[in-house]
Amino acid sequence: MIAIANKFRLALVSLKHAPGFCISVLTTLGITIGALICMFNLNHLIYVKSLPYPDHDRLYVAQGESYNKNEMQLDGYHLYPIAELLYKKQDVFEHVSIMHFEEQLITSISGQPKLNVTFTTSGLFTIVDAPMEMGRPIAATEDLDARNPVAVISYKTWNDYYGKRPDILNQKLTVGETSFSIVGVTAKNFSEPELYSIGRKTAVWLAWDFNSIPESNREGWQSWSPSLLVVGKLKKGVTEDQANQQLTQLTNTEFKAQTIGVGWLKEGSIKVRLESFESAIVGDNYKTVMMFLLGALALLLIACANVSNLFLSRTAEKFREYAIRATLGATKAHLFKHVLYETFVLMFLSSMLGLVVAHFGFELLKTHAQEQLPRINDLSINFVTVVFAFSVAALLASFFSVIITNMIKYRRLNSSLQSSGKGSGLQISAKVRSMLILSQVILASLLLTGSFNILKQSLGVINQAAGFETENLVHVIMTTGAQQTTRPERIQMIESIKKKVLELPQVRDISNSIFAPMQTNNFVSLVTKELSGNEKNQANTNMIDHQYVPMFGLELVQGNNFNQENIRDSAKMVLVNETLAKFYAPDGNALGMNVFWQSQPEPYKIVGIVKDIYIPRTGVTSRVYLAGSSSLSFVIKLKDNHDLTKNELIDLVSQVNRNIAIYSFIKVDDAYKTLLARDIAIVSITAAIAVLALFLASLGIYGVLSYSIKLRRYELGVRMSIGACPKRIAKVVFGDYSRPVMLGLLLTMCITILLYAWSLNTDSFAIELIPSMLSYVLVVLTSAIACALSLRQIIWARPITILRGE
Amino acid sequence: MSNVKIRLEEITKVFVGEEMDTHALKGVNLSIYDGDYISISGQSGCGKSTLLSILGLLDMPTGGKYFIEDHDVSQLTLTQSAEIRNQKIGFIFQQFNLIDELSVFDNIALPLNYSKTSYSQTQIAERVQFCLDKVEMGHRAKHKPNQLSGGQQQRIAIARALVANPAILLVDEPTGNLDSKNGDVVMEMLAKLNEEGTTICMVTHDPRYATMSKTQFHMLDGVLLDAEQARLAG
Repeated sequence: MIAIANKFRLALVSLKHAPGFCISVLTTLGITIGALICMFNLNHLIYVKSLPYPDHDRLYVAQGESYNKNEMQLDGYHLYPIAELLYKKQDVFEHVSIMHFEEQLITSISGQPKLNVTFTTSGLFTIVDAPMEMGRPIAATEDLDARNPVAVISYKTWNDYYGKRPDILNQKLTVGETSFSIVGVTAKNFSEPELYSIGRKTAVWLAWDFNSIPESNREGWQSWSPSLLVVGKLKKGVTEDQANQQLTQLTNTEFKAQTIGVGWLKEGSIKVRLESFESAIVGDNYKTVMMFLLGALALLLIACANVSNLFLSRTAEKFREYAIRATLGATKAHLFKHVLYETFVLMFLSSMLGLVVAHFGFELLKTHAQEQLPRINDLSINFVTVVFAFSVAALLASFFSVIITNMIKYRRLNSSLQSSGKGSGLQISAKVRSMLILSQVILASLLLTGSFNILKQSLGVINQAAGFETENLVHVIMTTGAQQTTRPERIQMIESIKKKVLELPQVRDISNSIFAPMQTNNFVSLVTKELSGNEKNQANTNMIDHQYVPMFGLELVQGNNFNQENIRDSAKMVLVNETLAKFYAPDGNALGMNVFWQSQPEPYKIVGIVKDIYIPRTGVTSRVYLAGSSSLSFVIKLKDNHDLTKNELIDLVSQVNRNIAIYSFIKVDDAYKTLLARDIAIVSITAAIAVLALFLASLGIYGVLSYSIKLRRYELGVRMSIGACPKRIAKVVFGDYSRPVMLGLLLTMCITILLYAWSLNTDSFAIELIPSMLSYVLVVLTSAIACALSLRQIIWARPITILRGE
Repeated sequence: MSNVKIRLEEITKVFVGEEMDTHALKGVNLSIYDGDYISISGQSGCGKSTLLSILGLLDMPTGGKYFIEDHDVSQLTLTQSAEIRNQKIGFIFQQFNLIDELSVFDNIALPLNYSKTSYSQTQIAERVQFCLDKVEMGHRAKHKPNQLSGGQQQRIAIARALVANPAILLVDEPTGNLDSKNGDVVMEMLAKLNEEGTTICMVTHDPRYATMSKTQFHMLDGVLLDAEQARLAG
């Protein structure tokens, strides 16, 4: 034991004499191992680590699917009566729960914050075995039709809005017109399953009965909602297929029975498909996190190539020491052990540094990618992470030791001292040197090509013109709370609000319209070409006034905008976008054609066609705009360099009606940028990887060229001693190294062309010329600079210092 | 008297160290004439290799003047030094200093490739072959240095030193890495070259080989002594 400790001490002493080498290795591997640990942990969490709920493998979301004939119309949507039917009549789950996800103004809290609210039955708390800080969860006796207004708040809500007051239980919490009694606070360590969307944390759970779904939708068979969820714990012995079959039969039978006589639903059907909690939480991110892991592995690979070169360089320097050891009787195994102690010390320190880097990486991910990547809050340095980090250290130490020991060439070592003076020390052939440079150039240029292409693609998404204006626009949704209003009253209220708002000096215009353009999927309806026709199109639907089109700068490509009379009369006319126009008239003019809604016999005439707009990550969808709205939703256009605050607006509208509250106040530009958040996160991560790749590539190319030139130092000294001038030496070296660099680039180009050919057949990734060329130019420049820097020490020195190896 | 090929006037060389400076050469004066064959011997660390490095323009003196064929070469740029080395000086090292990756032919042709004078491939081939024949290695042109014995490698080094018709051959411990048989062969070859008119300056620690030169010098603590001075100094 003491002997081993002594060996490690000697290794540390030896390394202390090579601070530059140690810093280069530790920096290169510390950063890359850190990145690898981050991505390993994320993948471990998503692919391997079970969800922190009992019997997690029996937890499922019952996803609703809607079909017309055999064609799927909607996936992940539920009808309210179907959700309740599943809750009441299912026989496959031990525990079941229905949930509706909303955002609600909590009027009993100062400032009336809008918080994430989940209306739920008691089953959710049982299924996930939610730990409580105090009180209790919602009870089974408070489920369907109990009409018992109880609330459970999260630890964060208790902390943020109630200052952790100990008497929180039985306090009142008001949402809309209902006053809820707080019965419990979830524990700080409760990890809520993010089933609705990544990063959504519920602030308040409320009893199911009080959800805000309108009465008409509760009984209707045509209102599908994506924010309704049915979850359950499968009974032991029931398979997923059996459950799918039973639940589909239960729901579809009821659906068919309830929709008899509805013409457009005569060939409709519904299915229920169980999706595991894991799959529902991770969504389509399996591939993304795996790509990140592969990226981190590629970085480690290039780092290893760099570090190999540094080790080769150090071995060249220590060759004489190894030769002396060999003459004193050291066997190949002795030398391997000697090298292993040194590499292990370095790799161990690199892994420690990697753990520190990973810790900061976790914090960065939690700050910037919480809403983009699943289960990010569960990331931490744990036992598995530490084992992984030290396994990587052990693996790398063995790998580098084998490389170094093989390079030493034991037989030659023995004879090198005997024939002192012959040759130039460590014999590494020009071929091996060229191969090192070649592999380094290929690795570096491929990594840069990949990084730059991803970067360009994401920048393309960010920079893609939206096709509508976003600046100086505010989208506002108001509510009258408990006050019920008739349509004429609302229209009167709308006019009064418009008039008041226009009195504000900073306001240029106001439009009474339901949605801003980027709010897609909020209201989707099925439109047909003919009454009860079979050719249907799922279109984003909006109700707008005549101000909407000019306010958002939408371009009318044909026909006309609505006028004031159209809006006043709620005329049966629509504007459609180019995509929907093509559905109606693939080769001709859609102007004047009729649009039908499945449940309405009256046609709406197309009076104008607007240019398609682009929404990040959604792309271009069919859009239809109806004339006139009676909802309290507005878009306010501000004058340049002016601002409007929510409080200003609250004061203003309270002059119209004291009951009006601001439900939503969103700056359109901010909302649009939020849509880009994922791409901005990807751009940031990719930019960081690209910078790291460039740094590693530069370091690697410098390392290999510097090492290679160091090996040639003696040879170059000989050339100088027989009359080669500095320019000549530079020419020789640049000439020699340009061959493997150019060959490496040529091979990279071939690989890129193959990738390009592959990318033509896939939508997932596109290889482009400019970013690829940029990476080649950078590699050539880096190689030239690395070569010049390495040569500088030789060509400006006196030949004798080179020959003496000083 | 023959023409002066090389003249050193009060040459000094100081190596500056962290704790102390080392005076390797202390005012060396030396003239080497056309057709001369001089040897410089002395104990290890006396400064003989430093002197040879300065003579070969591999290093620059700290002080004093250095003339080659009456041209002052004491303060040349690196490029100018390289040109003079290429045109005027032929080097033979103790460690042969052949480039492992080049063939014997290419090693010998190197000085011609670095020359300002442009040589055709035929001229290079003729010149290399002539030198190879001179050292009796004509049949080894295509071999690599590591395929040759030490004595053969040194003969190739001599051929390389001769190929550009230098004004002087500077020879550093030519037999240091050779057995006595090969050492004798090399020394005989140098003597023959001198008989044919080549000017030679040789550094050696072997008194037996030093006596083969026409003029012997002895180096003692950075000071160059002629045979008489050396005898008096004991």
